[in-house]
Amino acid sequence: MRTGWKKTLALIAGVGLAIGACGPGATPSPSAPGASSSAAAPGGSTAASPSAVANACGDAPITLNVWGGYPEMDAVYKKAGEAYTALHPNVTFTIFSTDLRGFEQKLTTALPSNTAGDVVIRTANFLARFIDQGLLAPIPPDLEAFIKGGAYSDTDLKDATYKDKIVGVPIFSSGTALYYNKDYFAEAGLSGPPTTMDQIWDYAKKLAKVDGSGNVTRSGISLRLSGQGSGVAEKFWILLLQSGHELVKETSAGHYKADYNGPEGVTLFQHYVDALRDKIDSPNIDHDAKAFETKVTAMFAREPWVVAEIATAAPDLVGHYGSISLPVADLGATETMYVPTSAPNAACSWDFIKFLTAPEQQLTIPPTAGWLPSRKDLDLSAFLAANPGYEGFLKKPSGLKVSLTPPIAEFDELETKLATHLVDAYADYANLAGKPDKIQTMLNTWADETNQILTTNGHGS
Amino acid sequence: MIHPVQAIRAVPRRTWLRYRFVFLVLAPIMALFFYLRILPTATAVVMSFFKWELIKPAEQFLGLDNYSNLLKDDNFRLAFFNTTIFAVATTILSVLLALLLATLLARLVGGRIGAGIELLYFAPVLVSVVPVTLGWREIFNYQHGVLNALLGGVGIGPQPWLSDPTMTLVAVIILSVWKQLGYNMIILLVGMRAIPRIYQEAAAVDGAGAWQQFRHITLPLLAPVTLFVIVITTISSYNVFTQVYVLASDVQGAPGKLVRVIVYDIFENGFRFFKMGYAAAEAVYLFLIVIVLTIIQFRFLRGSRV
Repeated sequence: MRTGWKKTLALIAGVGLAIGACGPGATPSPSAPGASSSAAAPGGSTAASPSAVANACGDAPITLNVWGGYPEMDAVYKKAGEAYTALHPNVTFTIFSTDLRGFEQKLTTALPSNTAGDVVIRTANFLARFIDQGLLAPIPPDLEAFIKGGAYSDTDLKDATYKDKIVGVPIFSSGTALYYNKDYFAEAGLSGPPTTMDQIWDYAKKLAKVDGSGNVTRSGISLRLSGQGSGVAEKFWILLLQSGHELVKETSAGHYKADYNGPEGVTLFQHYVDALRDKIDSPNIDHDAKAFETKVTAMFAREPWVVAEIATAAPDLVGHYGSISLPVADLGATETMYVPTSAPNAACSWDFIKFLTAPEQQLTIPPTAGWLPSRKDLDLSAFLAANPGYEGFLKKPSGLKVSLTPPIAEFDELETKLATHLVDAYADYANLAGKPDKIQTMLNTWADETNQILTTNGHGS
Repeated sequence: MIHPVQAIRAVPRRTWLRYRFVFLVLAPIMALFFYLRILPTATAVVMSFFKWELIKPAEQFLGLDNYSNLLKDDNFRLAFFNTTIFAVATTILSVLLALLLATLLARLVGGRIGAGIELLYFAPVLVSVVPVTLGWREIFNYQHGVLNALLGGVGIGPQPWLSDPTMTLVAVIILSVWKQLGYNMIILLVGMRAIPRIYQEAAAVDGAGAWQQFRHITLPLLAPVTLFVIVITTISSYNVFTQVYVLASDVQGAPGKLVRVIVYDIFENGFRFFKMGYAAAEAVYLFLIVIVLTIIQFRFLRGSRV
């Protein structure tokens, strides 16, 4: 009762504060995988099916609300919902999604107030706090057994695990690859994509273009230099991974410390400011997918949804670009499905989640939304043949290390604060380029803040 | 001095009865006001003394720790600095420009043309901040923005409106002054039109020029309205959020340096980092800043009244 009173107060105050105080948007349509895309169905990895729980949804009319943070996935949920309704006519669906940050903010108020959807889709890392508070229901044993049964990679399983327990059901996964414009490469006399970080920086220099007034008109590589939130630090992290380092490294079970202020971090930061000084990139031109689609950059690193976006936003680029895996390591992320503890139709919700893990539903994800299905026992070779832009995601070199976001609730805070520092420092590139000592001091100061946040939350070393 | 409770008790029963209808119709509004404004504000003050996460309320009593930690927080200090620069610049510019426009409209332009100009300047007030800001983001674009094209026309090179920390603050000020100007202008114009012309006519007979009339008649008689405009603009400026949020929103590809302001910092601490107690302390600071500034403005401008 006391806790309920406090929660109510917290919510009222939250709303009061909000009143007083104040992702990618792909519409993808890559080539369909064709009839030949299919479940490889290796031995033993048979998906749990809706029939696993007899009549989980009963006969009374039910509306399931599916909530996610990626609007491009709406079509996948809608299609799956229609297929599910065909099997269970009493079940209908509403799909809600918004941009990722907006979605996360909605969840922070909706889950504690028991007003979230019946099926909620986000990473285990983000939802850790809510899991700790018992706001998300544990996975039914049969579904957990299925997840552990070999249909998913160890990376996906690890990303769906919190405090040694699988907490969410993987639906789609992500990674990063380097996109490159083949025409620009040919123009610069480069025969193929870069396969080492040194090549990436070297090629970027050759690919950049500057006009008569000294303004960059085409960046050699589009670095993430600005924007709110944690994205700037995440992109720095992905490049840092190529030198074998993380933003924070685990020193003992559950304890971490900053790992970006070593010599490799200094070198990487130098590459950024040197790239700005040498007019390989510029804060004043477009960046990211938009820059690639409008041919303002020759290279950039991003997730697979860009392939789908290019197909609709820049169809003239199709066939003139490629993607290649990053040379040493990738940053994985798995979106996982949950049922809130307060969901009124939990059995039916879990049954729909099982339905979404079926090969037929998983295979609709790449052609419909551009993301990759989490299940690893599916044959995507025909899809790749029809959509070679996915090569960097589906043809990974052996030995590629995959890093994951640490399962600590404060990670977003430390990453966002680091991003703020990075943005300010990139803007000050003229004073930092060629000054490794100054950069080292700066990184150490930021690392102190990172370590302080970890310590405050009981995860410091 | 009579004690307030005694004063209430001294009110005759027939007086209470006479005003019962007033109390009756005010009651629902007051109840709503209490529930939606007073209660959340009071709760926020309580929260500010606790380690209070959005989903883990009242974990630990911290006393004034949140307040003292905020004073050491670089983000908060930067936000306070940016917000103050923004509020001062926006208030001064939007009030002075509005005063100039209102004077011109009151004295020189009337009829349909005057009404058309009023509408033109007031139109930005009617439009939602988000689409307006998105439009301005294109205007500020370094490569193909209208503003840099205009500057190029007079020989000034392109400015990094959205990527340089100082220029971004300037960009937010320009956008906000443009948005606020029409509202201030209309209020001041109404105030000016309410000043009886007889005073100015009398001054003219005594040989006062246009500037003297403005300085010694219009401005002093307009002081209460000017005070209102300044207070309202200051309060809304300290609460700036949407413009900075949208200008630097996470739209991939668009250059956008975030201008950290207090409300953004509150939002980030509360709803992104879940630190509601900390964010509440920040909100209390903002509340106190605005209250103190309002009191100062009232004292200063009331003292300057005729």
